[in-house]
Amino acid sequence: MIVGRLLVCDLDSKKKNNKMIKSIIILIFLLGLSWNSVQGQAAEQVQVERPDDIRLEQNFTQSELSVFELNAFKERGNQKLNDFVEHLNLLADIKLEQAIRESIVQSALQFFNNQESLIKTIVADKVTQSETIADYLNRLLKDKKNTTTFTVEQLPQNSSMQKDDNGDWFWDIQFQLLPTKATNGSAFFASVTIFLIKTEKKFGSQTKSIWQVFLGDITLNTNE
Amino acid sequence: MQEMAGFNILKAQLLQKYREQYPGWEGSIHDFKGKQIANFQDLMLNEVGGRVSEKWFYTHIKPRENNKLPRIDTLDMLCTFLGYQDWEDFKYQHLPPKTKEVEVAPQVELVAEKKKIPYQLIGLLGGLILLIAMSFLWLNASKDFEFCFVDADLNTPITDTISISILQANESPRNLQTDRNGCFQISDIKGPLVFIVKAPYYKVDTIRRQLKNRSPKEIIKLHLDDYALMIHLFSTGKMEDIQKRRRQLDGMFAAEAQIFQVDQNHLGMELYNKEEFINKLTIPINSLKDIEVLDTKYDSGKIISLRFRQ
Repeated sequence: MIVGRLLVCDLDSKKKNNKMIKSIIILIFLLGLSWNSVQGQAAEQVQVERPDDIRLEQNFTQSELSVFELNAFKERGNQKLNDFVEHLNLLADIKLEQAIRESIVQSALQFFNNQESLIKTIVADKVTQSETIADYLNRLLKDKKNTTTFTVEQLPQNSSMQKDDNGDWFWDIQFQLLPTKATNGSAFFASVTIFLIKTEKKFGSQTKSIWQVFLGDITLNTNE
Repeated sequence: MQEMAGFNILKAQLLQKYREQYPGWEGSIHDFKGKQIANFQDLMLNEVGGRVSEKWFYTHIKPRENNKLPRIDTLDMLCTFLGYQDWEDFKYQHLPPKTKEVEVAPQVELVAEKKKIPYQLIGLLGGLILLIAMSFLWLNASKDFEFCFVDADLNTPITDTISISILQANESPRNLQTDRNGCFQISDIKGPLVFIVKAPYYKVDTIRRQLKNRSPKEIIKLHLDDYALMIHLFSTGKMEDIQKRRRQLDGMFAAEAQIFQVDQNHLGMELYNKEEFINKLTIPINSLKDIEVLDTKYDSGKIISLRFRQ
């Protein structure tokens, strides 16, 4: 009996050894799996739920806008004016490759809902030049000499936001175009009409109707 | 030696016992193969309720000359199988009176054999513990740390030389540069590590790290300075480079991506589609400098939504 028990003990200890080795292997395997899982999740960065985006999207898709929302779009109008003038300044550099200058023109046109928007120059109360924004930008594109670059200085505003019959909004911005120190040219007192319009925009295969700010007619006044 | 002689006698009697049940077997016990061993195991199991393994059989029975005796408990079981009380009884009946040498040998063997399996287990566990301890000590004792820099959007190493300024209390900054893999190594840092990272066309960043209990290697993401990059691309005047950047951005955004520009109160100012935003990022105007990305969401590795203010 004692011999039998010893033998059983011997066999038991072998089994225990095997079990322990198996446990260690399983543990290492599980650790590896969990590590891969963590790495995989980090790499994929998948976040499907986007409740903030849905709420924010409603800012753009809703039919009625609050005063706060209108003010946000009004501020965007100011930014777009500055961005447009910076496009003109880039275009003033004739050393840029023509393809790059063409891409600047295309980008500048995106600020306008209507490429037939007019840019008028008034000298001493007389309209000396009036052309569409597309013609104006194409003329700059063909320029063979560097033109004046400007900075925008906003003036006190006396125009309030108004709603038209289509439910769209518009207002004017008064501003001053000052030649930069590096270039010579005239300063302009200017104004631009800003539109806040419901427009159709494509996001991949989806089309959404959203509020968007555009520049409109521009008037440049100078006494020189 | 007497013990070995006794074991050979035991083998002969085991063969005889086997032949009682399997008279057809004409070979010796040393010629036993799988089938005979299995038969033998069954016989033992029926008579003494125990068995020896096939491996044991190959180790102790198959060799014509043995260097050492099996464990005493196995010998006892075999002797019981043959009708003796135990191994002592077997020796008493077949061998001359025992000597001191004979007395000692089986005990040594017994101890050795009994410890054989625990030694394997202890060896395995010991090895594992040693490995873990070494890793732990290596992680903690190592004073070398490596930092590597990757593009936050593309997740690719930044291979342009990056300037690192290590700031330490009461010391002037120590300047280092990354290697061609976009990494740098540092050692012998006392206290927290603070360094400023400056890479061409990436936003300057200041990194602060407590090195204690820290992994010796870390990857740090740097964010591209779109304005600086586009100014550079425009100044070099190559449309090809600009198109390359546009393609890079095209690959980063999902086709249906929505990019929200918000004001300070997080109210919407403009909702861009992918093409419009790529256009915005590839014209070097001042507002590009002011872009502050607030949130980016990904789907299948591409940006599906991005919120920023400027």
